[in-house]
Amino acid sequence: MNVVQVQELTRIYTTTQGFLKQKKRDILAVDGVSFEVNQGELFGMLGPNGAGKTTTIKILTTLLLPTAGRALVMGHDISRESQAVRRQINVIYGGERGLYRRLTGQQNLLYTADLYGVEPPIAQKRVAELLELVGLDKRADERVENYSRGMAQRLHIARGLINDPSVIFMDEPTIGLDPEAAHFIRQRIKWLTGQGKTVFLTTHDLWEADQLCDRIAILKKGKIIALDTPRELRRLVGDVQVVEVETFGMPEEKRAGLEAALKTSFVSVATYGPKQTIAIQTQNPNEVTAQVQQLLKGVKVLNIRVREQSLEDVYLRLVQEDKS
Amino acid sequence: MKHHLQVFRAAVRMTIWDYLAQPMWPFWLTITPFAFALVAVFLYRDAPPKTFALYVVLGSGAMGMWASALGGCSFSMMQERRWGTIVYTFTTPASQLWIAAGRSLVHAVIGLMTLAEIALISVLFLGIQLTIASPVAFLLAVLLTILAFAVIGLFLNSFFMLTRSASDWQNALSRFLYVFCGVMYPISVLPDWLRPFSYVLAPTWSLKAIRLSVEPGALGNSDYLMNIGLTLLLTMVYLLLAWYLQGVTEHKLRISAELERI
Repeated sequence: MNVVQVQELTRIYTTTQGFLKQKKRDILAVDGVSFEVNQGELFGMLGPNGAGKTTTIKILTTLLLPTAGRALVMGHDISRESQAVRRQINVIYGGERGLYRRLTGQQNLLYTADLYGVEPPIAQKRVAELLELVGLDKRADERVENYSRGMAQRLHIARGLINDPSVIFMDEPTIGLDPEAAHFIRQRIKWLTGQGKTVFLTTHDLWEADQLCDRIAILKKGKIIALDTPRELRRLVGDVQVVEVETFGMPEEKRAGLEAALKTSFVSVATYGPKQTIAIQTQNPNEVTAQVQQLLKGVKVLNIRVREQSLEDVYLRLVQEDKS
Repeated sequence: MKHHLQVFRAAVRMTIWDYLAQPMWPFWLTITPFAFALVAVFLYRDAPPKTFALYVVLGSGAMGMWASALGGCSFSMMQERRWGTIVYTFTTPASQLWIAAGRSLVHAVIGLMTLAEIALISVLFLGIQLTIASPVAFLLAVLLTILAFAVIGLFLNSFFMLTRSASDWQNALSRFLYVFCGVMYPISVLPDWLRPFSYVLAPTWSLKAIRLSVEPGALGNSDYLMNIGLTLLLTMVYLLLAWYLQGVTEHKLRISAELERI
């Protein structure tokens, strides 16, 4: 059963510039996307900043209206039956905003339970259970302003489950968290699908998406450029391997030379201070390794290895391929 | 309806929690009304005792109620935007109108506390004699005044949802409302062309009703009853407008995507 059905969804933001003579400008954020999410699925959405991920979530959670196209959540039209949609969903955004900071964790949850119409005796019981689930039961009576970022995010998770939703939308729920806190949130996300919940997740963390998601849609400039399981996405760019080279203090002209010489392969360079990591996706790793060693003569090479391609490699290739 | 009442009760409870959690609330409840009372005392120190009592206590009390009802509603909305909670409440099935109703009622009642406080200050420290000849009429008029202020807060909630400068608008609006409602003087002193603004404000009539209720036999006084009736009528009109505007505002916000902007 499809719990989310999206057909040709489009969203244009109109902005105005100037004071006396105002000029209107249209920005196409989501450009005719179509997809379905199945019941109990953990569906991921990846894409660079401004690709339209958050806008898609905002439309599906009834915060925004689409400019064109149609979306159904649990069989209800998000434009015309927003109340019916809201009763069956919940949303979790990443970051510290979205909580009543002067209220306690427990008060935040009780208030949200009332907004969702949860019967008070059920709400009392559920609040206690959720606080325990996210490990905040000992700090339930403390004001949220005293919580760490990780604790606030855990409270967001509890808040997002307060109405026992069928579909949970999560927009970068691990953003800015330390590894331990992010691990905790990921565990809980995985646990949710075990409970039969459908999760719609956007993230910038490709490892997280690879580990968690059943299927992933990759968005670029408002369009879906790929949609499949992580395993199939990895195959999308062919039977390639990655030659990964770590260098120290590589000059810019060397990098340009490398990219020009390896035109048939996809090259991405990540810089970490004075160090660079060059990832070359190729079908001929041995040939490329030899070529790279030749091209990088005079550059301090710290490590060179051949590995299987990751989701990150595929993602970078897909979103950067036709950058021109 | 059951869910609406649950949301209303939750909004009342949350507003009280939030109000008491703010370090400034003792200041708002004591210093501000006292300042209003002092202004009124100096304005009316040469007035006859009856006028003095009515305008010092009721006038400054009404100013306090305005400040609380409008200020509280705009502050709550600004806070919801700043904290990003408005986005979450918007995506719940709860009606924003009922949330705003609970919030507005709390702020109007807090405003009533300032009226009571000013009455106490006036009697204890300023030697003002307060005699209410028709307590039932007085109570009815006061309750309607609270309702009128709460509904105005509700009516303005839609507007506050649309703007990122709710507090600035509240500051500007409250000054006008002090003038138009005649909180410190009868509206008959206003120029003719300004009076229509006063006539469409429910507190203009409810405050008049409060002033009449200090006279004996107010419940049988047609002037008093007319003021009560007009207050009720205008409050109903505001309610209908608030209900209509809320729907329009929500639709507009889903198109303009301005709810999250701070």
